[in-house]
Amino acid sequence: MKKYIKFLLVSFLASTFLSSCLTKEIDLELPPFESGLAIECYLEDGLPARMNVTRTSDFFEPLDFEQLFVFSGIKAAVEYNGIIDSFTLVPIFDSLTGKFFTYTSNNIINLTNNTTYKLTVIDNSGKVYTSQTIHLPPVQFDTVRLQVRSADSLAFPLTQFTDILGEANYYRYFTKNLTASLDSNRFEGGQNFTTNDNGQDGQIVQIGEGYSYERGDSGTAVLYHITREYYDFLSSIDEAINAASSPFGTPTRILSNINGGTGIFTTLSYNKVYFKYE
Amino acid sequence: MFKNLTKYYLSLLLVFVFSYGFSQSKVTISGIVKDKENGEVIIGARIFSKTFTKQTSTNAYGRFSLLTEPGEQEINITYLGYKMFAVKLKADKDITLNVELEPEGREVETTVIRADGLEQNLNNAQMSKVELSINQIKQLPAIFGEVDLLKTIQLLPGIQSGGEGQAGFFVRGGGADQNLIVLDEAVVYNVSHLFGFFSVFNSDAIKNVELYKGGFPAQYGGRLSSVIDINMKDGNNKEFHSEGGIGLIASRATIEGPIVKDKSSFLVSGRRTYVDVFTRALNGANSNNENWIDIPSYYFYDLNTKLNYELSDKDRLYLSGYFGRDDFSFDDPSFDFGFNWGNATGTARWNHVFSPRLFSNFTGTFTDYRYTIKTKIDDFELNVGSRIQDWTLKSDFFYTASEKHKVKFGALYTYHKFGLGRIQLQSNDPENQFNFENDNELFGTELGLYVSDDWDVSEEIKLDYGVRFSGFLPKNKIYTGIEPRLAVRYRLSPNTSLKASYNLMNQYMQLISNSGASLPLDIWFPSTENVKPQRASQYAAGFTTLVKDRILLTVEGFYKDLSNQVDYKDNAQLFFNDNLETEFVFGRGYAYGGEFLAEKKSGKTTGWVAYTLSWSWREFNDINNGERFHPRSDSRHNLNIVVSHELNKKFTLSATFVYNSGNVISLPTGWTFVNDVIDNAPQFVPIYEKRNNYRAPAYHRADVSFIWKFFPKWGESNLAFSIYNVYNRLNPYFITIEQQTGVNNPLGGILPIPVGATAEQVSLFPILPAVTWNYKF
Repeated sequence: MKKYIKFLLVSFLASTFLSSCLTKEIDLELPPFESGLAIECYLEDGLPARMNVTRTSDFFEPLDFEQLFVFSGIKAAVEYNGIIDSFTLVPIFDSLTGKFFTYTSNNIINLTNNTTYKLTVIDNSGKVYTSQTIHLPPVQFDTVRLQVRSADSLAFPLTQFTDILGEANYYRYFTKNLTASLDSNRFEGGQNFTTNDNGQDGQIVQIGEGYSYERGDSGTAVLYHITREYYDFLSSIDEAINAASSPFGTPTRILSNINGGTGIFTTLSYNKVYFKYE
Repeated sequence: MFKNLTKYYLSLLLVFVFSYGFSQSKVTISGIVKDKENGEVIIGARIFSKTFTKQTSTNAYGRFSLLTEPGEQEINITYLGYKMFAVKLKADKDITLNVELEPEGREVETTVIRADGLEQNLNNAQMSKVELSINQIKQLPAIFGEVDLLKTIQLLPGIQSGGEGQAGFFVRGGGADQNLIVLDEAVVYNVSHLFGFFSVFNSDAIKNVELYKGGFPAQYGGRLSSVIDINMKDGNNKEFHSEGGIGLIASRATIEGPIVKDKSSFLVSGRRTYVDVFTRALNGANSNNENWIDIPSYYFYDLNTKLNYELSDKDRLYLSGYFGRDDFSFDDPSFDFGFNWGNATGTARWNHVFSPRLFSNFTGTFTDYRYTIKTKIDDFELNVGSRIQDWTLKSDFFYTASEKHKVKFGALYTYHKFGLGRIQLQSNDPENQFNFENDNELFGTELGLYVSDDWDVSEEIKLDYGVRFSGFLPKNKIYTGIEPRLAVRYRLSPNTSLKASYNLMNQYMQLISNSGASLPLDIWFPSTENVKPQRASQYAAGFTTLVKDRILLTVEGFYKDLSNQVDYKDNAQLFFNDNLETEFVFGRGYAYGGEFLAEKKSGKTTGWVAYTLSWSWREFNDINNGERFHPRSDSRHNLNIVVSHELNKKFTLSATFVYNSGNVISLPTGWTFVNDVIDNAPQFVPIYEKRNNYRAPAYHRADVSFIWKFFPKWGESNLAFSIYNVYNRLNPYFITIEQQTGVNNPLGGILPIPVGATAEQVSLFPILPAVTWNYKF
């Protein structure tokens, strides 16, 4: 029996060892990919519209910057309340965040609730891309308070808002510990997710996170009230990224509201608060 | 509606019964056939009146009823692996013949017995059916030495494995949720342990397995693609016995014996893994090591129990149950995680013989499958779970109407409770206490009425025809279905039969799973007002021929048409969604192909060669712009070779070879740049253009096993050595595809840019040797 147990152990360890090296690189023959335009356009109250026009690319091809951004041949305009506002090529790059926008509308846009905004983009081949979105009213935080744990004095922001009754609502919630984000030795924490009011229509929604705020830290919380299209876009890109590297992910087509291309056209309706842990 | 259906059903039944009339000049020889050594009833034994060339076979309860001419006659009763029972009778009136067959050593073989196991395949109108004996399954190589009934089934033609390490399988192009798996008549909803690596069926507790891929008998309903009917052993009613084994990852033990000799018996069989014992010891030994990360604990166990009692010659009572759980946990001072799931089933059956010609079975079953996930982070607890429960009452009648007609009829009532999702969130933080709970449940009643007739039209032609009326009553809706069943056999010669079948099936529930892998988190969702029942029509035709009384060749072609198929929108939100129906899309499907099976069931060398060539397609308006695509169940070529050779009384050598065309999967073909508006770095997001646009490399492997038997005074034991994947083929388990990013961004900043992409294949099992010690006394 002793020998048998020894054999069992050796076999178990051998199996474990062999199981640990079972990954190999392979060549894939995938269907050819046809490149198209990707349009990402955001309207924010009191700012000109920002738009990025890029080209999609074959997954296995290295990035060609000259091909990625579309700097010429684009005619675009946003239309609302009888106003047509054209876009001009004004490349803007924020080296801190890495954000890049190629086109900006000529005028500042003052968003009004429940107004429909339309986007038209024409590329150099004459192909027309269209989209439309509606500006939803922002949803205010009812309360934002810091929840402190007496044992170690760490805190987290506990926010609360009331869902709008009687309609399907979608939200994007974002928090950031602004102090910790500047210190590479600190755990940054924070939240960044989309959600909906499925099962909690008209109810009070309370959101917290892990204890990560130290005394003196300041932070921000943003609640975006987003359209179903923007919600689908954000969650589908999350799924697509996850599925490429995980067997438990669901391969998902990017859900876009740009007719003829891929991307998103949306207004940004949000309530933003800053707080400090005194 | 149901009132009308009931009337129709009863009228049809009366037509069946009275149209044949009662041949008063005939006599009935009826009884039960059992194993002489252990008293287990024998299913499928052949009862043959040699004098008048009449024959029948025993049903699932070992009962038979043979209508024959009066007078002296010789009756033979045979079953593969048993000595033939022969008796001369003077049957001037109805006779009861209860027989105990004596198991026969394999070294003694007679031509009659050799051919008998295959003869029934030639004789029956039933096609697309395979029976597996548990002894056969136990001889084959198994991963980690764990004998697995469902993995063996996947070696048969028309059965496509869901992938290595997955218990899910596809039958003739159908979905993994279109297989009805019943254990002692109770439905088992999740048949896997360890995320699909092992099945829940403990081979020591199982008597036999029947698999139907088509030509479904009318008593079965509720799934479109297959029925796997598993019977547990009754328990030895002669003397006490025990069997079991110690393996690499699990041990098992079974005890069975009489409660009252020859009258009643019991069986208790258990199995448990012990990987958690090793991991706990490792964690304990490293408790002072700061760099050690605790290994999560995992184990599973099964418990099968059965009790039966012969109340009289005409009545027998069975009680049986199954209980199994998987438990995965991780404990840490600040983070506790627990995930457990499992099935529980219970069956109560009463067999009653109304007359020599009318046998009945009344059954009540209960099924429960559930999972629970408990997470605790600091003072916060999140518990989520889901369950499905069934309560079923059914009756089945077997009536020998005349020497040419055997009628079956019955009814079924099932109450389903679908617990789609339960969530509980609570905080035990004294400064921030709250408790939130939400339950989402649906209910439905499933009904079935059936009648069928096995009709010997002539020496050459045999017809098995019937109809099943099914119904499902979810909230605010009634669904009904009329399901015709037809199978016909034409005996071309004593050794060759042509067969054809048609059946229509309805399925009133589907498994919601958005993952490529089979997970215990998958939930069952019923047909509702907005989700119509799935439906399938299947046509099959083929021939069966017996070569040299030893090898049965079966060739079948099939076409299956599937409607109301359910799939999901892109980016479907399937987890804890109260409006799950809004995530579904509906379409159709079809599958077709051919299957070849050559099997040898007796002699020193047994086994089979199975080959399947098939196609499966789906069409959904909302997927791939309406273009058809292959579902995961599509596989072009499947070849399985299974050989077992008994070298002598002590040594048996077995080998299997499997070749499957690769599974289809979805891979990205492009990427797009997404800026976003908050302070995430911009991302390059994979673009998935078409569903299942890539076929993975083929899967193939060979396994071998060697069984060394010992015959000590106390009983019998053996060492089963096996090598899984003997030539160490690295088969694809899944494929990941990832962008390689560089930092040579000409614009500067933090944006990592794609410089290409690589694909990696992850394989699960390399060559894996295993040994198991088994005993029996």
